Amino acid sequence: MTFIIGIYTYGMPPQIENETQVKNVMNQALRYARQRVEYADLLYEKIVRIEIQQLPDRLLQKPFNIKARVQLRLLEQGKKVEIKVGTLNPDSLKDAIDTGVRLLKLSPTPPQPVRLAPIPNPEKIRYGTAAPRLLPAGAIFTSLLKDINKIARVLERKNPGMEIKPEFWFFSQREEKAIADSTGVFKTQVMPRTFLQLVTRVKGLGGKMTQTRARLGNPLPYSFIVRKIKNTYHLTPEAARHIRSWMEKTVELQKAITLNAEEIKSLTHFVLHFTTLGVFVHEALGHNFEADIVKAGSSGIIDQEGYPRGIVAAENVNILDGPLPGKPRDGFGTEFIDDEGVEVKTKLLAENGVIKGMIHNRETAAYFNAEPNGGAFSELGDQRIPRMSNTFVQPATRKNWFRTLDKLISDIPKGLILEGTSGGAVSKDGMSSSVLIGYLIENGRITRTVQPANFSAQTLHALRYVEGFAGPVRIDDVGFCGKGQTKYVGDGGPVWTRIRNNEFVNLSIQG
Amino acid sequence: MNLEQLDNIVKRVARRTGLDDYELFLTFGTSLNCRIENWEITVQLKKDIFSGSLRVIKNRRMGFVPFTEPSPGVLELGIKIALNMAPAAPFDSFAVIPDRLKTPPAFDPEIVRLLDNPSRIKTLAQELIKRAFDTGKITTLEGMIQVNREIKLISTFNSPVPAIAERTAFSAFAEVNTQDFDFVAGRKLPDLEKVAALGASVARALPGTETTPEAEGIKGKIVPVVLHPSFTEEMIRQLVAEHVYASTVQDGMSQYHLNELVMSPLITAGDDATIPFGESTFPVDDEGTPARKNLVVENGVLKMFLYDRTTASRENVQSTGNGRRRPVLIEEEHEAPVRCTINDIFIIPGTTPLTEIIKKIDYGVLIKVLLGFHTANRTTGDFANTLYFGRIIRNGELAELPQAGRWAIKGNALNALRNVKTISRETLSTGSAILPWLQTELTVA
Repeated sequence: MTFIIGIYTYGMPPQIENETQVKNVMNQALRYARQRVEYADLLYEKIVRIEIQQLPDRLLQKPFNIKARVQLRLLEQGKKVEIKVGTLNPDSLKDAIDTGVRLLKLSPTPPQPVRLAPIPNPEKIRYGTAAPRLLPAGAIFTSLLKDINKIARVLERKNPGMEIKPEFWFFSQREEKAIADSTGVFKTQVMPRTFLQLVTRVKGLGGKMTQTRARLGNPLPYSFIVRKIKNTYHLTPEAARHIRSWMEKTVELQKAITLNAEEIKSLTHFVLHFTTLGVFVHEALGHNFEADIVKAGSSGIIDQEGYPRGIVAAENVNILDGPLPGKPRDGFGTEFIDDEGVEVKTKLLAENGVIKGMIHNRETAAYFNAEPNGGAFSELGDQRIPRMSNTFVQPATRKNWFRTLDKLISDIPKGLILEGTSGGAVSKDGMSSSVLIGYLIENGRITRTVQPANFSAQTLHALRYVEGFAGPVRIDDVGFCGKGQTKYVGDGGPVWTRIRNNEFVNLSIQG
Repeated sequence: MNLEQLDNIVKRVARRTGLDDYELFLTFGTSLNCRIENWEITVQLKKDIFSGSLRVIKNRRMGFVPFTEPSPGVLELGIKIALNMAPAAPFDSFAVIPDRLKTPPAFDPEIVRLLDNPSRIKTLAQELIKRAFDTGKITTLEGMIQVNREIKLISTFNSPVPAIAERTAFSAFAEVNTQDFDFVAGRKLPDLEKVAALGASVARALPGTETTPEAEGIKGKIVPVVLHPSFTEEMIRQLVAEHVYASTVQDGMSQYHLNELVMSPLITAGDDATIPFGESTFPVDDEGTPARKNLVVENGVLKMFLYDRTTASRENVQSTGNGRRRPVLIEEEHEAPVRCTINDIFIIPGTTPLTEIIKKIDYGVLIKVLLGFHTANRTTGDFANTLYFGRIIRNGELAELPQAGRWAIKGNALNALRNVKTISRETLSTGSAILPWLQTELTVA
């Protein structure tokens, strides 16, 4: 099958498909709404995706998956109604507006009238990067199946008696969105996004089973995972290395030890790989910076009026959300504008451990008298709420920031390296994140592999005991954040972060 | 939208494209959600949301086409592309849906009346808020009242008529001070008095004190635990069900064997897609196999595995009605693969009142929610997670709250069910399960 790359010139973001038609339908609906309410806006989102899922016992290929939805918001006399609409169709929109007006009339007046901060830079229309319109699905699927299973078979030969069962899920998509409002704003964005998840299960001698999960994801076309070399498609060397490494770790877990409560208590330090730190920061702190959670009084670090409840990290820690400065295309959660049309900024959430900002949508920005910073996102037509994009730790100074892991752990008498995650969750005062594999440090050297674990902490204290770092900042840990709706996110920090064991973190190891 | 008309359009497209068979899955629905955030109510409506999915067979190859726009042109293009690279079909044809199927009730006109009169939902939300704050014990209140109406259709090329049913749903919850919550869920309108009292009843029952495992000197120790039905359902769906799916057995990864004792002899359990007003209740599963009740475990002994049509065809047996579209991670239902999936879960209740179970525990923990349980190990059943909602049991009574972020519980889901010592007489309907409280043992990590 042939494919065409969308026409793209540097500095000229691509157009969404049928831009004029989309704009006309949206404007027509907004004109109708404007006669009935004070303010209305619309978000149209569309995804064209190819997808393959290799499950334990079956293969599912979806070479053609298109979905689109619309979100309508109406404001009148400080009241707000949000409606998800099935299709971008003039009749459906008109019907939704009529229903919305009826709902507005019977909606209770909120304690504080809903206001929206204005959309900055309203004249600029197009954002985004080139995204293929059609993809060589067959060739990509074949190469993934062949290359991933080949890596597993090679490892099985190296490890007699082990059965290595890889499961994977890959998608590559073109995302389009358009935002329009009753003041005449019209903005669009086109983005590619590609994702690979590998779940490796190993059945060892005696039937012992181990499992890991590894991911790759970026706002890039498929070619960062599968590339055409001569006439056939293959995994890129980076993707193949990542897959091989996690399959090897799953085999390694067959011989992993567990630690009891006393042994865990005796640990002096934890050293977190960025893949563990990322989800830890996302869950422990990130959600607590989301301004809707603050407004509801559910943030463990900022009170309902927007004042910090205390210091959230050690002095050497900055916490940011957004694209990585200097690398605007990195991070699975990266977008150029949010789903309200606000340009996405890198937000400084904490500096030297002190809270500096929040993640806003237009509504919370107006509520807290702040500038909107591009944090409003929706899952395909759902309401737009403050969400993280890529949340990461940045060392505040060069002090205790080493080049290598060896340097960072050289003076640790008894510690534990924690790597990988299968996700986490947060509550107001506490959080929980999983760890896929651990390595025991004894007298500055790695000695044993340790079973998967769960790392939890009290929110306000989670990062107060950070002592140092090693390696560059990476935000390519990939996640799907659930907050009633799903959002692509990235997270991370320096490759390694060292934390002193303390009474506010808990580790429990499986086994 | 007329789904039967759409089924006829698909039939025409199928004939035109020379398909050997197809299986169509369609949903069309509207839901209204009143979100409660302290004193604030936000109204959110999802109106006329359509989703569809088509599995097609041609020349013994099977393609998969999800779609959200019911357009013949999109469907035809989708079918063409899907067949172009379709893998081998696991069977020659899809099910033929019998034309006189029993349709258990899943539609309550009272819910439709509520959906048509949103001011009643708003008033209910306002009442819930007022009663909760009137207790004087509220710092933060989060909640939701949601009503839903949906039409679902399953059809195949050779079925005389599609399986089609209209279903309703009502759910509400209230979470108080991020310390505890209560909920109601089902396809029938509940007692609205209970809904209005949700927040207040949680607030009144909250103890004023918290404790830590360090203060209790309990870290690393195995303690008696009482599993709340919500947690038991999550544990079974996430970790235990994997081991009763024929797909896991055929892959050699199930830890269960037929006719062996896999759970406590006190447990008799199964799944059921025919419970009146149950979450899974529909005349057929997502592959057209008639809905049924499966007794999976009897007195702790595994009596059967759960099959969809793919796994059944491998062993030349019948599907057990468990072919459902179950997402791997974030897919919408219409995009998800059809695979072995447990329907509404039941465990036969015991004879001991819950208060008696608790009374006999000197020191233990009631587990309602473990934070991040979705990260547990599905292959082994191992988990180690932070205790989010629960209670300390002391001297036979529910006592302090576990301090947030300080308690973790670890164990193995399969062993937890093997070690069940008592089953409560009372059951709770979670909407998708009817379960008693279970007493077992786990480790405070």
